[in-house]
Amino acid sequence: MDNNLAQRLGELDEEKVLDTVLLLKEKGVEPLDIVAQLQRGMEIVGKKFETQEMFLSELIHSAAIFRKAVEKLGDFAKAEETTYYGIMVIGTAHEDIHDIGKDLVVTLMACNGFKVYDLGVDVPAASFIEAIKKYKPQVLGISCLLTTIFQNMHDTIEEIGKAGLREDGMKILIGGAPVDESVRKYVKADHYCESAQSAVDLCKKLIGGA
Amino acid sequence: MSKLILACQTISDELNLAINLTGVKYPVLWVESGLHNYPEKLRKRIQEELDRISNVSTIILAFGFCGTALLGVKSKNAKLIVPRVDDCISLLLGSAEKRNCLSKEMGTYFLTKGWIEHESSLWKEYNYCLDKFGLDKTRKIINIMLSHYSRLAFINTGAYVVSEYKDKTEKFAAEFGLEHLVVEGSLKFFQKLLLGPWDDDFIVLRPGEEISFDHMMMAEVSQGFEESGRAGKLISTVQLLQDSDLKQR
Repeated sequence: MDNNLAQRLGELDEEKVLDTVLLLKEKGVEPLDIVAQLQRGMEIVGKKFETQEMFLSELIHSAAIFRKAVEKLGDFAKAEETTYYGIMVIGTAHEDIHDIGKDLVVTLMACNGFKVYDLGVDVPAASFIEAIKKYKPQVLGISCLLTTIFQNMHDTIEEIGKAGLREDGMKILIGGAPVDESVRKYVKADHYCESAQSAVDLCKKLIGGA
Repeated sequence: MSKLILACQTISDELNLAINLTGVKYPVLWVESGLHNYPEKLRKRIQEELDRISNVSTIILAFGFCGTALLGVKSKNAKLIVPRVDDCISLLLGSAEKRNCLSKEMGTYFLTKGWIEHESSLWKEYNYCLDKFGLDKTRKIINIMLSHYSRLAFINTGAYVVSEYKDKTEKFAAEFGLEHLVVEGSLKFFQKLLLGPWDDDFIVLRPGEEISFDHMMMAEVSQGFEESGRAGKLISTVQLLQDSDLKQR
């Protein structure tokens, strides 16, 4: 498979990324294969950020290019509900307004066959509960950037449990820069995700599709 | 009883001023700025420095938690004193409570001279993007980064002349539709860090003891929870752990 697309995204060459996506689409390459290449590009960017070759702003720019590229593919990911891997409800924890990572998860999940209901930022427990009852997701994602929000995350998850919404096997995933295993234990989530890509991989595994 | 300070370069102006004001003679080791977005790297750097220090009874860490960057950090042979704040913005404002009040009023991005000059702040991101991508793309990128912020607060910590920076921060705020505020900082947390008492505002670790997740969250147990119930628990946790914005990213 042509790796140029991933490389071009890794170099943040927006024009070439978009041109290449259109070219591959015209050639009849499957949208999901194109998305897979774009995801490899995002991994390249992620590694460059980790090694401080790229700034945070470039990571954000790459996600914007990724979204534009996926838009060029049309509505391939918005098929009938029965074709979805599964359903995810996601939001940023109460009193946290940071959504860059969460938005990337939303985009990647949607491209990978999940129906995603994004509740936005600063989401109170009641809104999560309402959405869980309404959409019946297999996975719930809660993200945060602030260490001060761990308690809110804990309380939200506790409220969801008290409402009896963890009894049907729905898994609660948490993510965000300061989140690790110690935070997962504290807030009593089922899993934590180190990256947006790992959230996709984990959700596929949890729902049994991969 | 020999003491040493291990400190972050980003707060050097304020710490140096507090050292002058208090007259303490402890030597200072500076850790370079720029690792705020990389908590694991920052943790490793701090630990490396701590491991090099010997023949000192107490090490004062002049850092905020910086996310979870301090988790697991320890000194083998010295007592370790750590301010119990989410990041250095709370230190610079004088308390986590003040930081929390400002952030609750509206999404607020904080800057100081140190954050402008040393740290990987939005300011640096903006100038880097401008060189690399030009104005249009830079505006789009920074707008994404600031999408839920309504205000830019420049902290007057007393360690520099505000007017030398105010024009720039006002211009930046105007460009991105943010309200601009100069907010008074305080050196009281720094002074208490240097002179004590090391009360509940600090974590005091024995030699060999690691900073744990429980230390970070301890506020809710030690302050208010038993007397005030759930509300006290939430308030004390918020006060002591404070939001750390775009982390301060």
